[in-house]
Amino acid sequence: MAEVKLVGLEKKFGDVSVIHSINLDIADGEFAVLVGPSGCGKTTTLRMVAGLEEASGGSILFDGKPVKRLQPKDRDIAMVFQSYALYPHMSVRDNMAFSLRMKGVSSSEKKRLVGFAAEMLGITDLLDRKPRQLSGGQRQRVAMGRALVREPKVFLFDEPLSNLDAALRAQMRIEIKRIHQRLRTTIIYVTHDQVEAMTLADKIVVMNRGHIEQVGDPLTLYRRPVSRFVAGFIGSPKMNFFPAKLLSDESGLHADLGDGIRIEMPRERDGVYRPYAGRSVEIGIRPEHLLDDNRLIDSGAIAMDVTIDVVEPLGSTSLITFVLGGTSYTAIGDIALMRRPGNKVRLKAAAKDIYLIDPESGRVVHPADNDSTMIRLAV
Amino acid sequence: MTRRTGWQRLGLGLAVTVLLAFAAFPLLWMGLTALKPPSEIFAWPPRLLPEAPTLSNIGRLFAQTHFVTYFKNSLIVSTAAVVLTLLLAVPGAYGLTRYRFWGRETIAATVLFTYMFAPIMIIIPFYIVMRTLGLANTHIALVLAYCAFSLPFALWMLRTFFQSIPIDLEEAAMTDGASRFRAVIHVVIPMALPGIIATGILTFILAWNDYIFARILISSDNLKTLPVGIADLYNASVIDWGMIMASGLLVIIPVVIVFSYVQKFLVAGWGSGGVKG
Amino acid sequence: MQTRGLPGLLLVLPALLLLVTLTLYPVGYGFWLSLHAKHSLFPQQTFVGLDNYLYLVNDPEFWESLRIGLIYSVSTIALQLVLGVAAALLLNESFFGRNIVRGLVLFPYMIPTVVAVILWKWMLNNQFGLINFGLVSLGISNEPINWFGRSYIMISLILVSVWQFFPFVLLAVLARLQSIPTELYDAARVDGAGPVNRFLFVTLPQLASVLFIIILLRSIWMFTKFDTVWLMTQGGGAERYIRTMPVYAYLRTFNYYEAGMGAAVAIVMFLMLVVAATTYFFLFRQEDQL
Repeated sequence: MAEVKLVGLEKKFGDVSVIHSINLDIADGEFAVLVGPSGCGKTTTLRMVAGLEEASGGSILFDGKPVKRLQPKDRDIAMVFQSYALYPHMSVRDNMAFSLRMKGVSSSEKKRLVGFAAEMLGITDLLDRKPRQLSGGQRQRVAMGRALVREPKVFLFDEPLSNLDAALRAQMRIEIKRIHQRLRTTIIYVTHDQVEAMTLADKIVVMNRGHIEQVGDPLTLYRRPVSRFVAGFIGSPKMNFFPAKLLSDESGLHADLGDGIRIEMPRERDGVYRPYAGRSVEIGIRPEHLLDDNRLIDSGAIAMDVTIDVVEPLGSTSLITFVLGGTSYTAIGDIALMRRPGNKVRLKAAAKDIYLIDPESGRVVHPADNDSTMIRLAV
Repeated sequence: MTRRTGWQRLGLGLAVTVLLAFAAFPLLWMGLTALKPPSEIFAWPPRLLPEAPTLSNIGRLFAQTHFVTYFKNSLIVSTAAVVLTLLLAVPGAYGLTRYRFWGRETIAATVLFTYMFAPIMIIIPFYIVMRTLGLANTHIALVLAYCAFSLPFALWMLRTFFQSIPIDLEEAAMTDGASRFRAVIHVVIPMALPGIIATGILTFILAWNDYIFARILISSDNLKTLPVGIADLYNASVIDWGMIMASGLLVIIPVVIVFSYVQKFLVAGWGSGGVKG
Repeated sequence: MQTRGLPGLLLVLPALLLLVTLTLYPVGYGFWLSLHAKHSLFPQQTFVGLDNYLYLVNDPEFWESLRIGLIYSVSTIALQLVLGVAAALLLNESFFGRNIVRGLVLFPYMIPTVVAVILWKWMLNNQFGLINFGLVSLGISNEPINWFGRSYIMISLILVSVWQFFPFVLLAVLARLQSIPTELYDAARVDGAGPVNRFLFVTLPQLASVLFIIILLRSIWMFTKFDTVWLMTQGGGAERYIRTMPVYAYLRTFNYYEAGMGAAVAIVMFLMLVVAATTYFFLFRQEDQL
């Protein structure tokens, strides 16, 4: 187990800077997930922690000790690769035992460690097979087994589930979480899938273009995203961003979305929002908070009347697409209402689920926070 | 990819230099010698660069020997071999790729199997056969021999090229109103052109460089190709080194020129078998 | 839409015809020839059954050619392999000018054998050759070495053969090296393998299938090589000491004018190759062939 700290970590390729001064603290035993779109730098960061890429600047500390100068094998880490990278000509057993063999561990000790890892992953009867005889899911487990065997300080995962089909992925997620609960080793996990991030992480690190956008636990990132990027990245389906003008009149602040739609801003946020009066803003509402549902309503709800464009049944609910000002948006509907394209409906959302975004800075404007788990990062 | 230490960089540079020197320097030395006057060629200790570079060696080569004839013969024979090989291999490879018929895979395998018979095995009976046909000591015999030796490889290489061109393209052309033949001419051949050119080049090099068939099949001096001609030049009593080196230099020029294009294909062709999907 | 076939067969027919008449027929004819006594220049022959073969069994020249041939083949193949693989590993690294170097290093393979031979005859010349100059000035040898005399001819021959053909090994190995996924090396590094272990446990196993084929092909070609051997050994006084089997077959046919005997030697070579190749195949066959 180790605590991992990144201080001012940078990476340049020639003159091009791809990672700009990253600062991150990961506590001992924490499951941290680096998430972001392709090219955001998450894999590069992971590889620097592993020692497979050389950092151009800054430092990496394991339990307070700098490891930047150490070779991967001396950092006491283990890594699971996206393509598993199993040695094709070796049996599963030999694959898992390879690192131990490099260290010069005794046969009996090798047997014990391999047996233990195999049992934890349920691959004991596969030990004598070769990788090409295994299915994708089995290979993935062997790759994890190879990492487990090393009893490292930090586990590194590089998009391990992206080559699996949806069903297997869901299954493996649970396995990984179970292993973490059992072993309590520090994990740094890279993925582009925000669902994986939300379900697995103790701490999510959202990255974009070589920067960290926000760090926090899943719920905080979901409820209080710091920037438009994070708001749009976390949560599926994606948050709706309605361009609007923030106007002030006798009744208070409201947003004009065009097409006659008007949203009253919650009174209690008047102070925070007023500076933006008269400006173009964006109103963010998650589809799951924009409901065509007769049941909901508390006072302070906002409503918009729209015409349905497409209906996608999901089983118990349906995804409703509607068009406003030439752009498509999504809402969730009650399937029992049997909506059809062309129907006019009234969509409602609770006041607490509305976000105001300043398009210039890309920041989400939040009322003063009394929630101390949210971390603001200066870029 | 970690950066290399200074020592590692030095070692790498050293190893590359040694390799380069081993492989390429002898050729360079040959070229330099060809351009030196005899006084410098036989200087001891030898100097690297010519002080007074001269074309006299080349001049003597043209004037005193039948080098030009040999060059002409090589050109004729090699070009004819390429033409014949491509004429047979392109339709042949196409037939092996796009059509299913009984024995197809057996034929494809047997074709490659002929390479197990090394030239030396074939040349003796081949010579007797040609003699019987009255074709001994003709260019025709040579062209036939070179074609026979290039065909298996040409068929194999062109087949892989054709296989990599999706059949959808021909089908699209045919639904657009082209006959199969025209579809092939206008669609497939242009796309396979790199492969066809590479095959042609390799055949050319094989014919251009060959010694054994030319030695055995040709006895008249005026029909000799370059490799045989040069070997005989060398064996003539007093060796004119400058001239010999000049002949070597001139012989490899077409190969050098042509080779720069082949290089890309050779590496690609060999590698495609092992690349992950 | 792979249509059924007659047109396909017709397309292949001309090529097949040529191959059969010019390759398979001569081979068959070669077998037939070996059972006859035939003067190379005259059309008549006499059937002698296995007499030619029996003669060879008792012929010291034949056995000598086999011995020399094996020494030559094994040495050149081994050296070509080592040099080719080493060069491929080297050229797999990235460095400035790598592509140019890759091109230049392939030259020895692309030039005619004649040129390779005369070029080295010049470099190894006992009066004016660069090599002797280097050896003498560095004090390695007291006087210039006669590279084409009996003592050193085999070494010169091997040197030139390796120089000429190692690029073939280099090409094939390099192509394979470039398709090895780098993640395997990453995993090995994380697992604690240093450069040597990475070569042994990642690179070499991946190269196994290419090496299998290369060894097979080069063995066939070096065992049956004629022109390099012939050209290197002519005129240096050492001809009679270095006769590999192909040279012996040639001499039997064109010096002794015994075409049947020459054919017999060639057939023996062929049979040896078939046996060796089959054994090799069964022993070392790789499951994941190209």
